[in-house]
Amino acid sequence: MKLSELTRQALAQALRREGIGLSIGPFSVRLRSRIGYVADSLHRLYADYPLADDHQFHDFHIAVERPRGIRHVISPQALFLVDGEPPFKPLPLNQAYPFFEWGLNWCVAQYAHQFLILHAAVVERDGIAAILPGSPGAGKSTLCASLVARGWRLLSDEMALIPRVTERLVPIPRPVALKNDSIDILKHFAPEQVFGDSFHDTAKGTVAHMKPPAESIRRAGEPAPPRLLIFPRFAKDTEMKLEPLSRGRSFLKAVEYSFNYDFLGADGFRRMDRLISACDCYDFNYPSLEAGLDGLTRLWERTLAAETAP
Amino acid sequence: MEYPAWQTPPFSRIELREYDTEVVVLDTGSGNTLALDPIAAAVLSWLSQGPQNHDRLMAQISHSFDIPADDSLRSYLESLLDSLQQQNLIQPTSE
Repeated sequence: MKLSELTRQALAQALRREGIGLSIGPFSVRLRSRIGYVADSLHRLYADYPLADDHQFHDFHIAVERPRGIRHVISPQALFLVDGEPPFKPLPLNQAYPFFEWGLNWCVAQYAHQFLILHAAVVERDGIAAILPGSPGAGKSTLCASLVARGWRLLSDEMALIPRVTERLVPIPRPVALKNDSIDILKHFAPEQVFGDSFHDTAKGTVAHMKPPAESIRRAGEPAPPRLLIFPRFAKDTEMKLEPLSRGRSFLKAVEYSFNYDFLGADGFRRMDRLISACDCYDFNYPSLEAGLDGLTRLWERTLAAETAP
Repeated sequence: MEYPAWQTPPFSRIELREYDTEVVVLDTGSGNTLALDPIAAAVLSWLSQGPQNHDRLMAQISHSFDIPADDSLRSYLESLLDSLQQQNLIQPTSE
């Protein structure tokens, strides 16, 4: 059963009472919330996600609720709870939905050590998965959203999950988080896409989410082979530049973007080696969304031609 | 001049991966990951298998990389061993 089979009212009621189970890539998430903003955004952005069975094991038990006490009457707030404990201070109530998204990111990075995790967007087309690691502001989510809007499969806009036994990347497709100027850029670039509400004055500025394609959700159980490791950097007033990066330097650079490489020790080293060995690696500077898309599309075409050459 | 013998620290294990002309090394003792040139990586690998003195390392580099065992190699090796020691990847056996 998909979440879209619930009416907005039925979803809100289920969230208020026993909560709902969501299958998100390799994880099952149990979510409860009495906050209307959460139900609204989930109903719009998670419509295509399968609901997890009530009785199955859930990796994360999450609640987004108003804190107790009188304070919330004066200044309404939302609290993120995992296993009943709040790892963070409360945020304004109207940020309850992005709080859920940020909190879930934190849960995965904090607990999912069955994977080597890179802070990266991951997209795939015709069997070629591209990993785009990047710090905030590098433009990875904007590039990722635009590629997805042009038909690439979304594996993640936030995390590359590398399992232990293979370098094939495990998808965890979630709504693509856009910030500030990139929200309007994407709405203009891909008006056919579904966008969630804009949340203003958050710690990251204004944030909004783009709904992931139904096809990416449907294929969330299909890992993808990594072929391209691209370090994007958005910089206005520069020429587009795609430069091959040696595997040694790429290895060290990728380590910087890992959430848990140090934690995994020699196992993390071996997984990173498998990943690096499977990829062509590049530094990529781009001055605009169009230039970024053009550069990545041409690189993908070259890679595909090389893969399919006799 | 008498040189000390060198070794990797006890309980430290070295993992190496070669990519063209670069070698990436994990030192499991410190948890550090670093890139080394092929000669440095070879020296570290030899020392991880057991203590070796300066002359023996000179001879091995000269043989493996076809480099004359002259003063410039001696100077390079001293600087390399100093650098590896500063990164806590090796230590003199006399300590």
